[in-house]
Amino acid sequence: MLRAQLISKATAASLWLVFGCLATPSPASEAPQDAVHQEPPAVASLDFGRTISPLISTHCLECHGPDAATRESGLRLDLEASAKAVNDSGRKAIVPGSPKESELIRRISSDDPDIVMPPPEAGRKLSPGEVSLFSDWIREGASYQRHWAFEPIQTPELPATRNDDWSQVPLDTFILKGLEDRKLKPSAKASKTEWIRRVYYDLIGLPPSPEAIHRFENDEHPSAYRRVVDELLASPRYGERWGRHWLDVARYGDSNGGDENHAYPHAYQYRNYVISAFNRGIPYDQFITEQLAGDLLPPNATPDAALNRLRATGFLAIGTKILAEQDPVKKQADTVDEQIDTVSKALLGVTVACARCHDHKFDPIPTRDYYALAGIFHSTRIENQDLETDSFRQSNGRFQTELSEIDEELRVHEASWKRAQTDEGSIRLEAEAYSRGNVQVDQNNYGKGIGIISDPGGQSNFAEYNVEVSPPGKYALEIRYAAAEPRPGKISVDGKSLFEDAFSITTGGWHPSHQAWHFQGRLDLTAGSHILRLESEPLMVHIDRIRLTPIPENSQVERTLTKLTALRQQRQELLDRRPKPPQAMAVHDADVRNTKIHVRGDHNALGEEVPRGFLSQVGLSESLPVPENQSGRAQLAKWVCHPENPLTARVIANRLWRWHFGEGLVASPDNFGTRGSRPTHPHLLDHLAASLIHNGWNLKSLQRSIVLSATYQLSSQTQNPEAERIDPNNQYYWKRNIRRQEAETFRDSLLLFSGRLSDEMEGGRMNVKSQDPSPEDLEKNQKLYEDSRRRSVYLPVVRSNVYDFLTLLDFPNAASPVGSRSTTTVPTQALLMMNHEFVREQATLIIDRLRNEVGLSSFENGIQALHKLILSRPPAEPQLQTARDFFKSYRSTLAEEEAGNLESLWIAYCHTLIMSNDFSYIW
Amino acid sequence: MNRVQQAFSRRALLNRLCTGFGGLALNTLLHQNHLSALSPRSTQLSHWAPRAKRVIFLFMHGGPSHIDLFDYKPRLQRDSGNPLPFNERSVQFAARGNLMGSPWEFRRAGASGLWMSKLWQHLPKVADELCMIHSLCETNVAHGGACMKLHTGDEAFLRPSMGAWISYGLGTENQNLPSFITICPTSLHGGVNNFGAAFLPANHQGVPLGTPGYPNTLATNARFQYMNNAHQSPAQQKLQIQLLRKMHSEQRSIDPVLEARIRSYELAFRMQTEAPEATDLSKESKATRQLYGLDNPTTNNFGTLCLLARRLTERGVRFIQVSHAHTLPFNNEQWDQHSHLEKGHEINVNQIDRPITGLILDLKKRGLLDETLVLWGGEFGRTPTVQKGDGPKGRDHHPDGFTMWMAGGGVRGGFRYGQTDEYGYHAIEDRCTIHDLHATILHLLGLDHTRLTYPHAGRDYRLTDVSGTVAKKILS
Repeated sequence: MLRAQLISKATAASLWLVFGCLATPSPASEAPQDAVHQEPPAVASLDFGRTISPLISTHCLECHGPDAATRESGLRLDLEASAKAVNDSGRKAIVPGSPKESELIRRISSDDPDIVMPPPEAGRKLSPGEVSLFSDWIREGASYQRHWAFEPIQTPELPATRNDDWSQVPLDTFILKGLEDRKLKPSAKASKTEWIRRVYYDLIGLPPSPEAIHRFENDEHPSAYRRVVDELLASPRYGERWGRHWLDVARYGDSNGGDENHAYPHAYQYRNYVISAFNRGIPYDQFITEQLAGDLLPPNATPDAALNRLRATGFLAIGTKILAEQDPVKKQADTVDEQIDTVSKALLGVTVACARCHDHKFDPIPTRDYYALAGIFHSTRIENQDLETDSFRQSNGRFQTELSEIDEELRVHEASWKRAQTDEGSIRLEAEAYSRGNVQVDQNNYGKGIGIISDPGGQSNFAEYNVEVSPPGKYALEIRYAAAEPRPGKISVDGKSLFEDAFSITTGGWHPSHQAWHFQGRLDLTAGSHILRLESEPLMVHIDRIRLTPIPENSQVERTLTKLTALRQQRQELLDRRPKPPQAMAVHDADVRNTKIHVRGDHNALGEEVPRGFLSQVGLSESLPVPENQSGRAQLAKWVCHPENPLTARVIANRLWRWHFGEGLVASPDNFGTRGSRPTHPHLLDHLAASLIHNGWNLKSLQRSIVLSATYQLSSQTQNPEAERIDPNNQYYWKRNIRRQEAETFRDSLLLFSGRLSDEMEGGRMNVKSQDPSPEDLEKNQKLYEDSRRRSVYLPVVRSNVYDFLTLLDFPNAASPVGSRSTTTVPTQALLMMNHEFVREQATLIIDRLRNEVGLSSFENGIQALHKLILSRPPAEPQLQTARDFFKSYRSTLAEEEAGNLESLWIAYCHTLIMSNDFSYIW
Repeated sequence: MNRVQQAFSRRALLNRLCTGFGGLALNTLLHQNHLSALSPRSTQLSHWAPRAKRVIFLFMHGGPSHIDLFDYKPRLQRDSGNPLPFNERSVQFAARGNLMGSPWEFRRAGASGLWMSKLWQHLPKVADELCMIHSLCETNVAHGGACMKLHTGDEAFLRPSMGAWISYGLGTENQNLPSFITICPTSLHGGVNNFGAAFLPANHQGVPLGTPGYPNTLATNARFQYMNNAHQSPAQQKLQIQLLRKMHSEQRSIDPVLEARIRSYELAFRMQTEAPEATDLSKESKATRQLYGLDNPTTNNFGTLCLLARRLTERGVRFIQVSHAHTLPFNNEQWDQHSHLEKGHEINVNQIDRPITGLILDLKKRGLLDETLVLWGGEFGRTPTVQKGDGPKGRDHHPDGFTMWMAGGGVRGGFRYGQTDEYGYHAIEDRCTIHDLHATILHLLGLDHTRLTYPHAGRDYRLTDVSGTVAKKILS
């Protein structure tokens, strides 16, 4: 108490520190509150991590922190040893127990511009309150503690609480303890109707049907709640809802964003993987491992699992990129930077990318660590890869069978033709004796003794022959060649392309012994000079000879050739239909190497080489050496998912909490560093993280206990001025916070109400134009979006051009991980609600549906049904009266001939319900 | 925490509940939270007295050729056809040949004698208002990266655009209109990111007047989205808004965000009335329409955009971007004359010359030029060397020395700042990066670019990153 009185009222910021709020003002944490009027809780002793560390971080570390390049006087205030040692200026910044002898206090409280810290040019001075916090801390011994997030996860014991009846699951005890410590009481339990609507939206992103509500309200069994939860967790809609949460974190997008906005046609494979991974309930450590290193996992999986692992690596591939960057080295470095940024924020809650140019200013992440990770990603390539799916294998099997049947028939007919034909009058050409060409002649290896032509390496190969023909007539064209693999080419005569599938049949090898004649087709030639041209790109089979043999009219030979020609045609048509495997945007190892430090982030200024590795601050009891011939992603995955890693479990437990409660225990879910928020309930966070690891990283089981907790069931509809005063932000969960619908739940609900929501899963990417769209293209895109009945998670995320219905309702920008979407209330949203064709259309369809299902002849029945459908509860009597009044006034606006048109009244009322807070919020 | 920082954090607080486009309309609702001291006309957030209250950015997409428009190089004319006597930059876009003199003569304009090529017929009239910056220099040779750098200060990552920063820094002067409007923007090369808010609160993002597109939307379709309702009359919509308020008042919960949401409906309804008036040109006099070239098919489109910009200026919009971003039959982007330099630049100048001159004259006549900063330029300049290829000659992208100009609010008219070498290749004096340009613009608006920050992902971000020097010489 004494300390609080020392502080002037003006220094609200530092008061927040004492009360355990944020040190760094950030909009997300600055909810309206009047901290000055708050009673401070009893503070036993100054908490370094909570109070002093943020001040040091904000005011001092830029020059006295981890960054060696900008460090002054050799002093580091983030390290206890350095802060308490004699520094370059010959003084000790901190003398424990003695503020008077501490240079730090002299500097921060000085008025002399040459002495004061931070220096005047920094433009900020510590307030007297902040100075006295430092003095108190030093007087109490100036104890340093590591930043909480890097401390090992503890398994805290359940705290003792006075009220034993309230808690339903262990996590409640931690919440209750926090409330009791602040003399707060939990609000009443939400009504069953409120809870079921809440848990439906929460777990599957859709509202309960009126029937489901009715069933639950009448289910008196003690396990009624649990039954609902189990049903929802098993629903495929669950993966669509929670997969989308993860896609926020994975900055999922279907185009490269940035400059040119090319489509990513295969990114959807990753999206589908994520949805299915949540539905299958795979453990979180496996989920992460597959995304970081799915391609490197031991090949002991079923074919399906192997495909999924490849799809999973899309996580590293789908980020924004500048594809038109003309400097390939910078392009690669930027791609790697984006991967490091995503991986570190999404999985570890730290901002490693800050260390690209300098040691991290605020967190213990040196530049070396950045380049240790960068080496891993520089040894990784992004590439579309074939997915040998079941359906591809089947159709490809059918294709191969058909092809071999045709080839067999071809062989039979060729053989019979060879038997029948004579060499008489044939024109023979040695392939190597071409008139013009760019192919390579080989007399030694594959052409030993026979002389062949082939490609000299990848290129557009051609060879032309001047042919003198006499007499005119039909000729059979044959080529003798060897081919172990198909390298089809083209044959043209006098510039006219005749055969597009030439020399495509394989002969079993490349050597002279594999050389064989193959019929290519029939030519109708006039007498005189002709030019025969063979082409093949990029490679060419080994061609030995060419032969043109006259075909006698009406002969057996001619009939056989007719059949052969037909078979060739058939073969070509089959090849045109060759099934293509679906592809995934995925990664693989390539060009494995360590990276050199880019001095100040400049890829042209290379420094010392750093071995591939991980964050040095997170040491494990076992070492995970990176093999010389691998990128190290597999080891990175092991390190991230290691039970001793203090960040991973805390970060995901906090994310789950954020998505269930609207605010994380750590309010900055993507940043657990010193500039992020501190946990409101550190023990609870560790309890959740530890139980997650203990339960084999099973997310669904943690979620089950969260939604069945007493904390989750608190009512939001409560009036408690005392609690409002003590905890205006509801940081301690004395009530449930109301939450606005997210963009997707809003749209999906409307489609559900109007009876149009499709339950189609999987499927590819909707074909909207992303690159260089004209206004007409954009209109077409818009139409596709508006006509789609699929859940919003399946709509393409064309960066820079996401469906505006979603972006206006705070759909996140897919540029970097978003663990906590913002909720803005701006008039553009209101205009959307009032005037967007989609909203109007759904209102119309809902009314159509109600007319068919319940009838609208009775005003009261209609309003009842409408409220139950949209708001999940029936209207009370005053609301009925309000509706009556609205109908009456609205009718008076209609033109006379329209006055009997009840339809427009119903639509207008329904439209207003959709716009209402009642529908837009989850209570 | 000093006064400015406090003001900013209050701003951040307000933004969380903003209902106004500029973010401060909730003032009355929140006044019990000791916030009433903060006026919605928040110019008091300035770090010093502003020289300009708003910006009109005339964006020339594709890269206008500085050496054919403003940066006169006699040596280049003389050595035309010879090789460049030094090495080209290491990263280039396309293959280049020898030096190519400008096909146009240059002449001096105004009392100040600024150089302009003969392409300009009208602009010389306002030469003494223009402040030429001849020393812009950047590194990115591709449109995408360069456009993003110009608009957002970063060429590779998603950052708030300059208009969003200015909206965030200064708030709005008119609660019923957006504080940042971009007229017929291009969807290319960063697209909406170039007027986005990124991590700044969403109400600071640029609101497009006309759908972003490639080629950009024509002036005839420059409309705000979702301002019209084909099914209901304003009277009927008003009943809906009243019903919303009634339903709200029957609710049990007293959360202020619920009230804020109802207010946003009421504000949106008012905007529906105000916005069409702001973009309605029917009341403009014949003389004004002629001044902007609306009477001529060549200048009608861009003239309309410029006139719209003036109307928005009068109504207190903070940042207005007008994009000259159509295509030409022989080049993808308007000013991107890899070939057909003569034909392309002639068409382009003819389209904008009169409208731009008209805009400056009109602003001046109405006493708005002093408080409005007009900025003209593209994402880079063009090479003094010819681009290799067939067909009529053109020039390649060139970022290391190019020209932009400013006029109005707080800059020296008839002034030349910085210069390039004898060939117009490298900027060699008073080099001005995009960060420097941004720092200067913010300075003119009364904002210190080092203090206009926003916390995101663990650190404070700025438009100018860790760089930026104000070009003090150009301040009047």
